[in-house]
Amino acid sequence: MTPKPIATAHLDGTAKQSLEVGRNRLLVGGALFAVAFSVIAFRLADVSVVKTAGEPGVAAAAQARAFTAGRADIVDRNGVILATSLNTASLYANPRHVLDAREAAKRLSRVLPELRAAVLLAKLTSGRTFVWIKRHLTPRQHHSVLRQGIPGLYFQREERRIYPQGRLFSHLLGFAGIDGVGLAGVEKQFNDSLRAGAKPLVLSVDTRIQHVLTQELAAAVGEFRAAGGTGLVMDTDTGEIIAMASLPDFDPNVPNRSPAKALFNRATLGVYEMGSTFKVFTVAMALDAGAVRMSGGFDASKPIRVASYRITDYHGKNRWLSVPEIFMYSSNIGAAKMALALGTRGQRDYLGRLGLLTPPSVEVPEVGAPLVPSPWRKINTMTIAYGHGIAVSPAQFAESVATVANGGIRYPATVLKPLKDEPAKGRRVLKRRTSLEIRKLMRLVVTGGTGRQGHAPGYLVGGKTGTAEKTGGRGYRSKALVSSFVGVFPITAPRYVVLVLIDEPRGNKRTHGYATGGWVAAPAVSRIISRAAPLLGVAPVDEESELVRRTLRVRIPTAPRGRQGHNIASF
Amino acid sequence: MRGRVTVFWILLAAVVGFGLFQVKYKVQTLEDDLARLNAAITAEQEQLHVLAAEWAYLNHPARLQELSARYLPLRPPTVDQIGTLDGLPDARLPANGGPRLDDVGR
Repeated sequence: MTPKPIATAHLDGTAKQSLEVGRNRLLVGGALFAVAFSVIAFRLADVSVVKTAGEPGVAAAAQARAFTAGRADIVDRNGVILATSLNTASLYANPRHVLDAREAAKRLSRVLPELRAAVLLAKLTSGRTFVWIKRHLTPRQHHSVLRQGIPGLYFQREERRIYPQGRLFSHLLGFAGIDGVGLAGVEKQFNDSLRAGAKPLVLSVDTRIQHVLTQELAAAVGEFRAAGGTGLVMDTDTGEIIAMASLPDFDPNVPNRSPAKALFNRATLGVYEMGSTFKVFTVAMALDAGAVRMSGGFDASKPIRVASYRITDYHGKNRWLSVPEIFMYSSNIGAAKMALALGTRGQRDYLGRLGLLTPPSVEVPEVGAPLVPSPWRKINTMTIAYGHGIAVSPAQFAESVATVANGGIRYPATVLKPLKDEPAKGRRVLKRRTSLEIRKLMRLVVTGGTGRQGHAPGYLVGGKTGTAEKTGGRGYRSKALVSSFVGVFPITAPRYVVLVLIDEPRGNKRTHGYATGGWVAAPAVSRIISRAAPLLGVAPVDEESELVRRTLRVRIPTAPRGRQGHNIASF
Repeated sequence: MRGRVTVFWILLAAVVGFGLFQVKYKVQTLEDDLARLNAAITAEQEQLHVLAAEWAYLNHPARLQELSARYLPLRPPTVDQIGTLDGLPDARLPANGGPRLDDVGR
């Protein structure tokens, strides 16, 4: 029998089996790939079709790089640039790259004549890898150095602080050093925000008013050959400083070319015994506390002797004086007695609330603390009544006068322009009525008292003169004076305070040798107000109108019966 | 049939590729333009900044005062040059009748 091809069948069976296995494996593999591909396909569709938010539809265009000149600008209340930063080129050398130091030094000193060849040679042969040749070249210098084509010289782009107004705002602005760090004034006070900021810093000052103030102040300082002077224009209702000047001044573009003396800010750092201008406060506080009334008065017929002091009157009337007369004729005796009527505690209290015992809040680093007596004796109370024995800075003095004049609300002095919808915050110090009475008295000083030269027709100036003797070493030097006048206008509804203070004026022919506040400072204030009022939008009024007369009428009382003295009819 | 499809796809790929390169080069040119313009804007801004500083310098009040005194007959206003509207005579025209502005010059 022929054997059946079992083996083949068997083989067939084996082959079939292995084929089956192979097919299964292929199937599994294919299925795996199919799953993998479908996952990829699904993911692809998911990313590209469904999740369109992953990529922006439109590519963002590169924006123009906003131009920044480093340190932010400082502008005045109208946007006039007071300080700005410009990019300049600075020249430095790498002495190791310099081929012929002698030749290079010679050629450099030719295009930059202010640099000496010997100094340059020393720098170029120093063997260091970096040495400054000159900072902040002008474009012309930059060009001429480039044309020399000296190897080893390089330029560094730097920024330089420019003060286009020159000397006009020297003390207020201060200045920034060569590396762009504020070293004085507003530049120092706001150094951090100026360095960080793109937004300009807006000050409260007005360039036009500052110019008027500086010019008239300089004229007065020149005419009376004074050691210096300072002046302020302040908004009575906000405490904003509209103008602030101190002479001698300096050019903040080149501060190191001025004597150190010129860097001194008399308006905020200097403290002065203000003299009789202080009587504004003496009378105000006495009236406010009810220690005396407008109809009252004091016997000013004899000088007061206390210990070794002798208080006398400059414009002596030698009789009983009413309160308006004491103010009008600036009687020291009357003021001293008035202060005693209020008392030491009351005086100190009021001065504190008026802000005259603590440094003012003006935003400059150069702020002088007032010199206040300690202990505060009776004699101090009497001398402070007429502005001696206490020294305050002109800025804080102006702030306190504004407080007295504006209805009795104190607004801290500031050099920053307040934001539009941010009303100034003030604290009431005096009664409204007191303010009105003091304003009437201040008007009296200008119409018939010591401050007649402070009159500016149409602007209803009220004010007070002051002449203080400067303390020198020991005691007072009667030849060295500080003469001042503080004016408020229009006195019926005050808008601005103008203070002018002249340091060590010398009388001349025109003033008949007088160097008092009424002769030296009052005319300057008058001219400042006449020129500045139209710019400040203060409309002139008819000073003789019935309304003005009625508002400002003061009844000058006569001496009470039984007292020695003259009555009103006799002068 | 199969050959045509292949040719179609190859052609499509070529056209799309060409288009892509065109767009790419165009974008590159535009981006260069943009960068140049941005640089120019920055340079202009810097120029403006310098000019603003110069403007402030040239408008220094002391300089203006001197120039005004030299070239202009203007003086600071005095009190009697400033008035109020109440100080003006009543210049209103009658409501009807009377010449109107339009009629003037006809």
